Amino acid sequence: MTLHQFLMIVVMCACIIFLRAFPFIVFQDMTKKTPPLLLYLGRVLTAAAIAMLVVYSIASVCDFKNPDYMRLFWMTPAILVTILLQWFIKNSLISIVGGTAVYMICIQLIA
Amino acid sequence: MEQNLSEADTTACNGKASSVLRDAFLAAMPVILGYLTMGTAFGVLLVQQVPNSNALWALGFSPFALSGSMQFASVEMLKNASMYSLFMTLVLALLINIRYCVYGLPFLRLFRCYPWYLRYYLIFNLTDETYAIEVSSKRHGKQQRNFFILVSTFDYLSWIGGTVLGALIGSHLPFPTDGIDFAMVALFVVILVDLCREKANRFPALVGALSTALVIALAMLLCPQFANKSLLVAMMLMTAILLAKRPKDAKGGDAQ
Repeated sequence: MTLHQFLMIVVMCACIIFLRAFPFIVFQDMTKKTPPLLLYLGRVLTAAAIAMLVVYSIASVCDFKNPDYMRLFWMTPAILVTILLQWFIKNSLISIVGGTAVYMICIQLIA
Repeated sequence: MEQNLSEADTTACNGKASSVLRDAFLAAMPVILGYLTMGTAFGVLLVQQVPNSNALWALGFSPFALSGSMQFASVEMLKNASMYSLFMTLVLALLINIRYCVYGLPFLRLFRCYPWYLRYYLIFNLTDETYAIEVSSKRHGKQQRNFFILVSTFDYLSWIGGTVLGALIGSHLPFPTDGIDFAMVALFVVILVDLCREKANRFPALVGALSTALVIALAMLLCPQFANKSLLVAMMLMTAILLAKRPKDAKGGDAQ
C-alpha cells in the first residue's frame, strides 16, 4: 500500500463518518424542539428513501453499468411474490426468503 | 420515536434478553446474508483489481467505512490511485455517500437519550440496511435500544467478516449462489410494503421511487459513467418535490 492509497482510504472513511454524524452535529443544541420542517422531511424522506433504495438496489442487482435485462425481467415475479407474501403473511423473513428463492430459481434454472 | 408501521414485526418481544437477541437476529438475518455475500464480493474484487492488496486492507478499511457503495467505488479509485488526488477522493466520497447525511434525522431525539458511546456507535452504524431496519422498528425504550445495538453489531460484524473472507479466498470462489444478492432488494421491498400500509407514506414512497427510476434511466441513457452518482440527484429531486408538496397548514410535521 502506498502512502497515497492509505490517505485515500482515510479520507473516504472520514467522509462517511462525517456524513453519518452530520445531522447530530448540526442540530446539537436543539434538545427541546426540532423545527417542524425538519420533522416533516424526516417523516416523508423515510418512505421516499426506502423507495429510492428499492429502485437503486434493483438497478445495482442488474448492474446498471452493463445492464442485464434478463435479471431485471426475472425480478418482476420475485418482487411480486415478496410483496404478496409480506402484505398477507406479514413475516419479513418468509417474504425475503420466498422472493429470493423465486429469483434464484428463475435465473439459475430457467434463464 | 413514533413509527408509523403497523404490524411490522410480529415476533414476540416480551423484554427478556434472549427474545430480544432472537428478535434482532431474525430481523438482521437478510442483511447478514446480504452483507456476507456483498462483502465477499468486495473482498474478491479488491484483491483481484488492486495490485499488492491483501486481506489486511479489507480488515483496515471495512470497520471504518462500513459502506458497500463507497468500498466498491474505492476499488476502481485505489487501482488507479495516481489519477485521484486526495481532494478528488474527498469530493467523490462526499458525492457517493451524501444520502447518509439524512439517515440520522429520524433518530435525532431518540439517540440523544443514549449515553455518548452508544450514540456514536449507533450513528456510525447507520448503513442503508441498518437504517432501514431501525427506522421501521416499533419497539420502545430499553427493548428498542437493545434491538438497535444488536442489529448494528450483527450487520457490522457480517460486513467486516464478508470483506475479509472475500479478500482471503480471492479468486478461488466456487459459489452456486448466483442471485442471492436479490435478498437486499427483497429486504427493502418488505420494509416499503410495511410503510405503505400507512396511507400518509404512499405519496412520498411514490415520489422516491419515480424520482430514482427517472434519474437512473436518464443516467444510463445519457452518461453511464455517472450512474453511480444518481442517488445524489434522485435525493435532491425527491426532496424538492416533497418540499413543494408540503401541506399548507404546515405546523404539521408531527401529524402522526
